[in-house]
Amino acid sequence: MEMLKNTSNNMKTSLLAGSLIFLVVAITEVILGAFKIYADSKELEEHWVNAIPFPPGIFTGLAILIVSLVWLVGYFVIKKDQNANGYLSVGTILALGFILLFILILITDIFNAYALGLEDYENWTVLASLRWIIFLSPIPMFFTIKYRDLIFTRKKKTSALQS
Amino acid sequence: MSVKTKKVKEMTLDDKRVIEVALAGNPNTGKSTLFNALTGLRQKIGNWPGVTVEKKEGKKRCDGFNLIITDLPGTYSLSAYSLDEKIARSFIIEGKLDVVVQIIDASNLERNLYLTTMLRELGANVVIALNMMDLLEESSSSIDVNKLSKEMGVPVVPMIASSRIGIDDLENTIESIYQKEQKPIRITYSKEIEEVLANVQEILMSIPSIPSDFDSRWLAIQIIQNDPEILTFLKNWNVNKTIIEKLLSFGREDYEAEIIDTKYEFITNVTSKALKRGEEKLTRSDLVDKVVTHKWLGIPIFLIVMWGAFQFVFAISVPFMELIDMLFGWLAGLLVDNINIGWLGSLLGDGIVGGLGAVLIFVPPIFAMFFILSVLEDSGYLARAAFVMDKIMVKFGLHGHSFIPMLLGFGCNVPAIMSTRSLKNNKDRMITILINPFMSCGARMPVFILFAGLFFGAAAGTVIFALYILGIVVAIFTAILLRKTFFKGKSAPFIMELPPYHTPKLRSATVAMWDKGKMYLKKAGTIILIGVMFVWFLAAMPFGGVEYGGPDTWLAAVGTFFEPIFRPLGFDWRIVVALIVGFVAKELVVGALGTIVGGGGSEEGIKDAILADEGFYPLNSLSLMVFTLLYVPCAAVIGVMRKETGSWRWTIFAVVYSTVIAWLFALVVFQLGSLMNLGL
Amino acid sequence: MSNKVTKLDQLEIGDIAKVITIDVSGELRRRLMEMGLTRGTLIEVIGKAPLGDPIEYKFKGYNLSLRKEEANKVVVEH
Ligand SMILES: Nc1nc2c(ncn2[C@@H]2O[C@H](COP(=O)(O)OP(=O)(O)O)[C@@H](O)[C@H]2O)c(=O)[nH]1
Ligand SMILES: [Mg+2]
Repeated sequence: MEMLKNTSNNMKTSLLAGSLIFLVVAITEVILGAFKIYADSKELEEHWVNAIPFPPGIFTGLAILIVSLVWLVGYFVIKKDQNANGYLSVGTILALGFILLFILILITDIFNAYALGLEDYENWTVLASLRWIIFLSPIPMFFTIKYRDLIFTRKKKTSALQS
Repeated sequence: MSVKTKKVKEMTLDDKRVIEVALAGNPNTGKSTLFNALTGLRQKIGNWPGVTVEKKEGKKRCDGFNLIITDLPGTYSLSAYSLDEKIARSFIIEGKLDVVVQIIDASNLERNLYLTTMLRELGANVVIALNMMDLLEESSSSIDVNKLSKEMGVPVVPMIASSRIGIDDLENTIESIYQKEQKPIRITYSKEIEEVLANVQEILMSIPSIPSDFDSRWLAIQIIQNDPEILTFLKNWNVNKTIIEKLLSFGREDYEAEIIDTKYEFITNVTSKALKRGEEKLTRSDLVDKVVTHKWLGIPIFLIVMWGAFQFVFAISVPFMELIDMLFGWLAGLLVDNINIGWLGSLLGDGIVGGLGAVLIFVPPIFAMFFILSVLEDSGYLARAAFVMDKIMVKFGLHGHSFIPMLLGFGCNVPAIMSTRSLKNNKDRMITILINPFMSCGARMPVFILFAGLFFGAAAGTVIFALYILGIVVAIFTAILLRKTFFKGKSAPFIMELPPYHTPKLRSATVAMWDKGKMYLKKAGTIILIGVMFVWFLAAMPFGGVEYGGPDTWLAAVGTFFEPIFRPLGFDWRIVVALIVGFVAKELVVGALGTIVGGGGSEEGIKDAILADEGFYPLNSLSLMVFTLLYVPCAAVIGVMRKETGSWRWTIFAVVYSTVIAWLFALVVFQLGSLMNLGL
Repeated sequence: MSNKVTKLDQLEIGDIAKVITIDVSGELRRRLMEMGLTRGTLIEVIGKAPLGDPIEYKFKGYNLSLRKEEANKVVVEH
């Protein structure tokens, strides 16, 4: 019983911390992204937002915001002494899915920029695509390692069938 | 039953015995996975006669014998009220089968065994393939295979189809039982029902024309449940009218419920002996469902999953599209420059290679779209998406399952319309088919990109987004209209299984991508290629002296003829020509414009030529985009609509309706724009 | 379970009830019963779609979604 309590306290802290960190990243991106859209629509080349070394993305910000909210709701669910494994899993799997997506985008970006030399990539830097992966990876990775058994199905050898 | 006729077929296939097998089972139990594992690529995909339900057949060489395997539609029952059940049932009755393999999801034994009781009552020679043993073990439940086999009176082969475990066992078991006669299962019903059954059976025995294939107890059970198909059977056997009436008079509404109850009691008795359930009350899937269907989180999660899917499609297809573009541009240039006979170089270069390139460039996004959708479907999330969207869809006169075809429509309307087969109610399905072309497919994108990019600068993205929204709005409006007029009534019940979440398998996503993407390649290879050559021909005729695509060609004559209808929309003959060509395929529109306005075939050249041309300006390019969005996507869609609706009338309706709607919306855009004098 | 007779759509998330009968005839009753909603079946409410309809249930070891309209035809003891 004592051990159960500990695990759930542990998870409560993890969910809150993960959620808040993602929340900061998400809100920053959304606000910067909004400025960027504004600057683009008014064609303000000189706007300060364009001085940031990567283009902020409002939609990516929203996606991260939702992951953060899933964890946050999970935190409150644990506070009510209910099972929040689902919240932990869904948030983490969504985040991992986005990391995979951004890795894919990074690879295609590098290909587009260097191998194909596309025009759109004149001002592109590796950092612009890489930063998502750097921002997003630590927490979901940590959750995946720490709570692997809750998030993923264990690969047991099905002995009964092997014979 | 036919399955009992003992025959050794010694034909074809290296003179070995041929065993005919059908795969039956509930949906989502791994039927396709097992079928693919058994047959590999030796399969034939067609339709069941007269209907648009897919039929797959395959062969498998085994040690000393050969299997011919038919994949039956996935069903929960065999009561012959739905099309799928009817197909499965009559194939089992008439198919001269040796063995029916029922694939069962071991983690969902009870409901799956219901179908087994029906198969056994029907008298089929059944083998149970007890699949998903890995999931069963994970849920810490267990099944006593021997007991299950004994209680159900059939062999049971445990397996994990997705890891190809247990396939050999299954083959051997099929071989060992195919000549043995299984006794039909006998579930004892209530005393009253048994008495009625006895009476009916007695009458049936006295009718000599009933083929010996038919089990009289099975027939009697169907008759007292008012099975509508039995009447057809009886008539076919020339049974005397008064006897038919007498037989049918035994039918009672309540028997059906009682019979189903008794069958499930029988099953509960079997599972109480053979199945040990784990303690876990809420499974992992249940916990995930609580999040995915959460009151506040459900719809945002749905939206970001869709957003992620589209990001995936774009990210992965851009480099491939660029490569295809470069390759075909280079090839076309090479042909035009190096073939000395002018018209031949132009036909091969501008016409065929250029046109093929314009079509093949859409292969990457379409394949990527099918890939990611198959991943979502395999994972189990797509069923939840339909669940989350159902209420909204019903408001619009649609059904939760309409959502997937609508989403697919953004890729290509052809497979999207084919995917409406998941809708079992005809009205729901017709509406979903008829509105699908308004979902803006990938082929319309180049037109939008060209014109929005040229005339709307920084607002191009917004304009394109607004076009997509307009398409969706028109689709919804049309759905509501159709539901209120031609397809009155409620949408079908949403009795849908929510399968447990699985980790998607790369292999099955790749197979699904290829299966569906092939349809697009076929379209590209046939209709579009012919269209390209036709346009080239008209643009080059009459021979001698006329400038290719110039005002003296046959192409111009066609455009000029229709021009008056389109003048109120701001189109001159050249745009009209491009739009007529667009009837064949939207992929041709940009190319056709290039042919007419000049620009040397390259994207940049076309842009410069259009900018320099007085016939193109922001307002008429806007109405051109609206028209392109709303009228018939392509000839292939017309073809597939005809096939899937089974009606020329509705196909023609869709073509005329969408063209009229397109004309009206473009008219409003152009005339309002002119009136308001926006300076566009 | 307090032995109150009610309809399936009236239950709250987490409730468990026992099926008594299906209060409709014809095709709908057959389909519901064939999916396993037979007399005596224990059924749990897992969740509701964000807009309150349809509803996800669990019984006989699997999950099924029903619209309120159909769930309203299932008489249960709760
Ligand atoms: N874990 C597990 N998954 C399986 C097994 N067999 C099939 N699947 C998965 O179950 C899902 C449904 O399989 P499919 O063959 O499409 O089912 P169908 O609807 O009956 O044709 C797919 O994601 C398969 O990869 C199995 O033995 N174990
Ligand atoms: Mg399948």
